[in-house]
Amino acid sequence: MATLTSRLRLSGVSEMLTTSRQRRENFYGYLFLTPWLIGFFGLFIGPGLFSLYLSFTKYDVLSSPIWIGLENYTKMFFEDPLFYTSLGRTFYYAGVGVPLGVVGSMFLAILLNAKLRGLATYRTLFFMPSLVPIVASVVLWKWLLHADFGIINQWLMDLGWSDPPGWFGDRRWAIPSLIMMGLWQGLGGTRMIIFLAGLQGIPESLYEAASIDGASPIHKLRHVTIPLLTPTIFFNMVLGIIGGLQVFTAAFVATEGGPGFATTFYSLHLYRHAFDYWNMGYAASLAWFFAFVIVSLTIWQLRLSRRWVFYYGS
Amino acid sequence: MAATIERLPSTELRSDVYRRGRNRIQRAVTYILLTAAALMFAFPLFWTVSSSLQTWKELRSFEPHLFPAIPQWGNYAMVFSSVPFARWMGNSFLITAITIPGVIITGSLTAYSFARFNYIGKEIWFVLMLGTMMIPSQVTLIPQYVLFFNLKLINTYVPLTIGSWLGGGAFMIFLLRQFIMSIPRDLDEAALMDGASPIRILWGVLLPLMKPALTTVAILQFLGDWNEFFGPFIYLNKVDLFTAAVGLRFFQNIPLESRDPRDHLLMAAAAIMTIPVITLFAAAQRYFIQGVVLSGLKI
Amino acid sequence: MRNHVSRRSFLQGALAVSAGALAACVAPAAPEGDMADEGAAMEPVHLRWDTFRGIGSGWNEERIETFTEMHSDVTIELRPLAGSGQQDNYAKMYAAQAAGDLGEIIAFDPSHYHFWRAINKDIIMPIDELVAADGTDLGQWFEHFLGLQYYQGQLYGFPSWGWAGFDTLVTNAVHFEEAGLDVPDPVARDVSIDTIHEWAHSFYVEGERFGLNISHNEATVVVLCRLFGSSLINEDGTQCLLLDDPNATEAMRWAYDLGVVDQVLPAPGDIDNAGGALVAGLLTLNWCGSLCVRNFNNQIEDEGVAKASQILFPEREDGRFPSQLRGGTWNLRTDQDHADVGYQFLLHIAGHDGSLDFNLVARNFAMVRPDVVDSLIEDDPIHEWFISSLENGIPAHAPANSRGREYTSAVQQWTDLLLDPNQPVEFEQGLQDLHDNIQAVLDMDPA
Repeated sequence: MATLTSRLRLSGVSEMLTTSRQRRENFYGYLFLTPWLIGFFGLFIGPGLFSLYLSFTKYDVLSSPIWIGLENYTKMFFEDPLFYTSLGRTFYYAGVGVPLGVVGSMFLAILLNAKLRGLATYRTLFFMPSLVPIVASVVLWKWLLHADFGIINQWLMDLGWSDPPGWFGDRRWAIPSLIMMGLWQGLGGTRMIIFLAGLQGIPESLYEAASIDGASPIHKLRHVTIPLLTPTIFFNMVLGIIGGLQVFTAAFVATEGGPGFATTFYSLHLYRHAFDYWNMGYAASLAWFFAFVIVSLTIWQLRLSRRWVFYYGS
Repeated sequence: MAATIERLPSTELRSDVYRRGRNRIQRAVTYILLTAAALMFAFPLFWTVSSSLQTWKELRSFEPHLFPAIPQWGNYAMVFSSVPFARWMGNSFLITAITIPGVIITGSLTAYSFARFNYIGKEIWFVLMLGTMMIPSQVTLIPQYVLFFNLKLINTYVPLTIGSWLGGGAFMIFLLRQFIMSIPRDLDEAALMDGASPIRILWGVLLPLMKPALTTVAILQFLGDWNEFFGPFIYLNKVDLFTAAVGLRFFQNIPLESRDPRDHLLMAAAAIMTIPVITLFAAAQRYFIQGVVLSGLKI
Repeated sequence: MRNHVSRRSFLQGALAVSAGALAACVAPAAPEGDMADEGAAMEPVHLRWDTFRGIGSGWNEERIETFTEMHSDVTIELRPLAGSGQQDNYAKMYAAQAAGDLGEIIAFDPSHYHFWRAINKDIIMPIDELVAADGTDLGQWFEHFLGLQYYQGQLYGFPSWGWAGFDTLVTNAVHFEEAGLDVPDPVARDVSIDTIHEWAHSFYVEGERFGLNISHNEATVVVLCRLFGSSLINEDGTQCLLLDDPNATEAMRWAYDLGVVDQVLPAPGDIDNAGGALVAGLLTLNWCGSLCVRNFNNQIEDEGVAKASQILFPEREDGRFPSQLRGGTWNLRTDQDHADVGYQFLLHIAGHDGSLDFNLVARNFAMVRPDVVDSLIEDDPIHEWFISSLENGIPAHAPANSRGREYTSAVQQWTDLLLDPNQPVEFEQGLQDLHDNIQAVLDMDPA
């Protein structure tokens, strides 16, 4: 297309073509965007702006909001110790858990993408943990990781660790416990499926070409699979970070934010203010600040992606 | 990076025999790794089924039993007889039957718009679209609830399904957009040259190539709706309209209420809920692979 | 009610953007058929009952059926709440109230600290006039549970359930027999604090068994302070007593010595399922509510491993039994047209038959009426074990500003930190933090 355009430009019709083409692009672009735009304004911008407004008020849902200016924000930055600690814990969880999860899922998907018999069964088995309702998983993990009677600590003691971690009950180990549970739940789940879709989109011809050149599996992985998978890695990283920062359910069900606030993540702190304490105004300001953090991080990731993400089609 | 793909360093010639032997070892290693992982990941299914066949006393015991002393098949019957669980499962299916076509149609349209057209404001819309994922949902919940209430849509499935017909959410759109972007542009440029309209290009060229991604989207939408708790919990008040995910909670014991625990029924209900999902997942895999075979994604 | 209307119209205005966009693609719902019936001569009464109490047991349905048999012009719709925790159900009820969709028959329990907030927010109505008009005998409920239903001199509901808080040590008698000790008398109140301290040590076997389990929730911490003659907060709900009352300080030091200095108590998370640990013989004494004894007794499979008993705490110098009387309620929503019918339904579910079946069918612990006690003891003699706490217990003290959820959360999390054996804090520092954080909640604006 580029060559065609430049040839046309030489012949002097380029201006007309680009403007008519631009008009066409605008028309179809917005036409196809319309359903989403309706949803965006109806379900998001309306309620979202309302909650932005709420972040400058004292609002308990049951009486009219009272305008208090920046008070929620000053409270957040200067008077709420849990604001900083919950933010720190959230970054810890996402910073450790997400990269591990993305890399782990990628390797599982690569294993599953081999042309071997019986892989459909393995795929289903790997997906299992994300299908079982979380209530059941939590019971299971609390049993496995029990400080005194759990199987994992029994093994660790057999291996010579005389004072194994207290896991969910120990402030230092509560987040690692949740990360472990999250990895186990997520490695073979949605992320792995997305990697599989990405892997299956890699043209077979590239592997064939590499085989003709006598490339080893490691070579193929490094020079074909991973480069062509970068859009998928990027997708999973962006989504993983966004999801990881909003970690909620596992902590809500398994530890209720404890012990001693050790798993009071930002979303949990926010939820408590919104639905336990009914400080909806304050919760809204927490949410909007967090939105700002996540948006900034994502923009940063998008910028960074230009250096390492490779689109085969373009 | 493109250069590395075009030509890999050539290595010395290897005999077929050597290569076959190496492949065999490779295959064995792959199987061992896969099996070890599978054992780890399949355990919860075993656990769910096993515990669904136990008595609540066994389940409540301090160190959970791996197997029930006597399998309590009656637990399953109890789930259906004590609450209208079959109806709730039907409702869950109905919701997914509404949302899956929605997300496939409107999600593809939106993704197509983002991936293939250059229009004024696209970048901004795209960032805003991603932004919708980043605002914690707890805070738009109350305004949304009041909105749907004023539209008289409480106790209908509209609040639960409308989003899927309006693009289906940022995650799905982003996924489909990434997939379209990985399809060589030459294909639709060629169709364009042949005089095809954009909607024809989407329908005739891109959608067939997108089958794997669309299958993925359908599975994710199904899973999301199947396990979704908070939405149905907030928007539905009539027992007849409940979904299985909400119904499941009726078996959860209320702390400090001293009635006998119903954990065994909870686990049986969880197992009943998991079965259709596993079936769907196992079945959809074939289309997943088929979709790739048919995709013609070759150069 | 002016406030109510203006709030709703305010929300409508603020959401006009959304409504406009959505109305374009959503067909307006057809007007409901029964709207047309309004104003007819025999107006049928329709009430909605929003509850999570008794759901799944058939009790709710039975109550509705027997009521509508007597009142043929009334229909009652059961709207079960299925939140993943009790607090989620309140969240839904507040949201429903904000949208004007809350049922007429509801419950904002004092025990969960929502009662006072619901009154302050004008969600539930006083029923004194209805009591007078009906001539209801208020003596049919235990005085202390009915007492919980009053606020500023007005009555807001009838008791649904009630208990004495964490007033006992649920005990595995087998361990006492094995140690050659007499099994404590379950109702004698003759075991001293020092003996409990000693047993926490002597029954502890490292890696095998815990002697005593103390959870860090508000229910436990309050009774712990009361056991030492004090309480956690004053009766007005404005002052934390931990630093001001030496007895309260001593109570916390007692727990600190066992948990942090001697390290014989389970750390948080070590025992999530204390009931299961008791049944399995891995725990000797579990600090709990006396209702737990019934559960424990029901769960025992092997009497060689576990046998149910309990130790009630010794009488205090003021003659009261260490406990925290708490309970639930049934309320009527403010602003309803048929409060008189709703009131009759309250009587129907909180009356003798309703209350008895609430125990026997729905398996709740609801000894809120003297006239059900005999039937309950007949059903299970263990019920006799909790009566003394109910009769001579100490009522709960709620934060004056209705910040109950913040309060319970602060108590739980900061007690975790004070009693953390893995990363110990100095007692003085931990207690100061606990005290300051509770006081900070009590000093907040009213909810």
